[in-house]
Amino acid sequence: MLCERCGKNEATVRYSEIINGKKRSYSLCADCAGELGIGTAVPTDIFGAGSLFSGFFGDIFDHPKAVAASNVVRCPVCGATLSDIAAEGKVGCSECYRTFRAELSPTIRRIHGGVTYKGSQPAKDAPEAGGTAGKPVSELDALRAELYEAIKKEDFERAAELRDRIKALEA
Amino acid sequence: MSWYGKEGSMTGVVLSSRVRLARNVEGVPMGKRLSADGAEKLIEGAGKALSDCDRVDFRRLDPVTAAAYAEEHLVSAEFASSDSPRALYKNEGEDTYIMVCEEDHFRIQSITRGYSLAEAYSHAAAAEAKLAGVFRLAFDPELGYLTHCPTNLGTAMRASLMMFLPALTRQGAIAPLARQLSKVGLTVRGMYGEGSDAAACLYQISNQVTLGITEEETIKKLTRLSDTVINEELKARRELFEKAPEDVADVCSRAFGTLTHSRVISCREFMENWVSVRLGVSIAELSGKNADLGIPETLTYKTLDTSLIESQPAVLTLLSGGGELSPRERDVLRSSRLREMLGA
Ligand SMILES: [Zn+2]
Ligand SMILES: [Zn+2]
Repeated sequence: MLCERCGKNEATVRYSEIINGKKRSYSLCADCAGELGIGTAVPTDIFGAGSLFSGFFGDIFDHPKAVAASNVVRCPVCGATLSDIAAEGKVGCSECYRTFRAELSPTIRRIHGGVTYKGSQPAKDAPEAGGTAGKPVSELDALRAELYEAIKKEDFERAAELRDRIKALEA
Repeated sequence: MSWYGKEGSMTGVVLSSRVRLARNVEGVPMGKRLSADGAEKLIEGAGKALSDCDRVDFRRLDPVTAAAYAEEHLVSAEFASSDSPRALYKNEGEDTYIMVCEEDHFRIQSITRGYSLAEAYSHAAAAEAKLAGVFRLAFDPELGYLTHCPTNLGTAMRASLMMFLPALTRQGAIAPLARQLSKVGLTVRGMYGEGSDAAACLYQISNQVTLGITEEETIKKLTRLSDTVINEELKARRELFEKAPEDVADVCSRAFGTLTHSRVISCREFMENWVSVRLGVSIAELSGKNADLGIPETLTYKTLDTSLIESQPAVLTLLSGGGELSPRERDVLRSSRLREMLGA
């Protein structure tokens, strides 16, 4: 079969990953596998993590409404059409996600595993206002540093004690 | 002072902790749709929001200085080499760097020394709060922070640790480890690698999932799994030394000799020997300084990690005054700086 990424070369590398319990497998050619750092150790930007396909909006047109809308509806802010987004693999602005919500959602579900957002809200619960991660994890940082020191000194009794405290905090 | 010149916790295994947040402004086009005027407004507005930061105008920066920022891990390689309007805001005291007009409007990065993800996150979140005071950040209750690329939707956060794993590398344990971690949503990448071998035995372990998990959970998960990796690495280092103490001492001593007595040294030769010396420092530490590995006790991770960054081509060129250097000139200069920095 042909490489799922470039669609040009014979696929020789089978790659799978499991995100949120969903397994995805890709067949890639050696060039693309190399470019993506699969089976190799080529450093890439960490923001590239997971962006296996630059054009992963390719399945956008599985959605029947999408085909009709692809070149007609434009994002009111940036002017992008669904075809533009599919071709680039990226949106034109934040409003695109709202304009094309129904059409984009199958793809987003596929990438992220159909889950909804959990996390901080802009500014409101930023750390200065008593934030999300701040304190409990900082305490963990300190305990872990201690644990590391204990392991280095082979003080396993102390290490076990620290591990318990870390576990209790993480629970 | 940049992260590598600082003290930190667990630096024997973890060189740095990094948290990146991708943020965009509501209603402003992204990427190639962003106009020059729009970019200018983002850069100006960010300056108002980030009044505690120094601004570095990357459009007017010479390519060597720009590349040096990337070699110090302060900006992405793409940002360093792009030619569109862009600026960096940096707060060195807080270890926080904000790229304006990278792929997203803002990429906030905090890079802290050693194992300190929570600290990195709190610095990054503080910078985000400042931006949110000036801009309306693009956010959706179902999708989270709206990013240029849909893979980053959600928290739009990448947390990562730069880990030194020479003993696991030697055991051939990295590939299975990477496979295992990828199953639970983490990514392992070799740094400074060519092909399949990461010459410096440095790896970046980061979260892959950004939607359906909170920032705190992401950091906890990454930390929990990294703890296991750290313990495995320390165990492997002990085993390595217990199995063949003379051989380990021989390799470490010779490596230290090479770094401190060369006259011409390539980046590759430097990195290979750097790995052995750094491993030697760690083994000496693990053995309670009883092991004689031919490395002076006064040699610190701080000095070693500074030597790693300062041996990279662009940083090295800058340190020599910025004039263009041939590869040969760089190799000569690298060796003389190493003798100065590490010399017994
Ligand atoms: Zn391909
Ligand atoms: Zn748009």
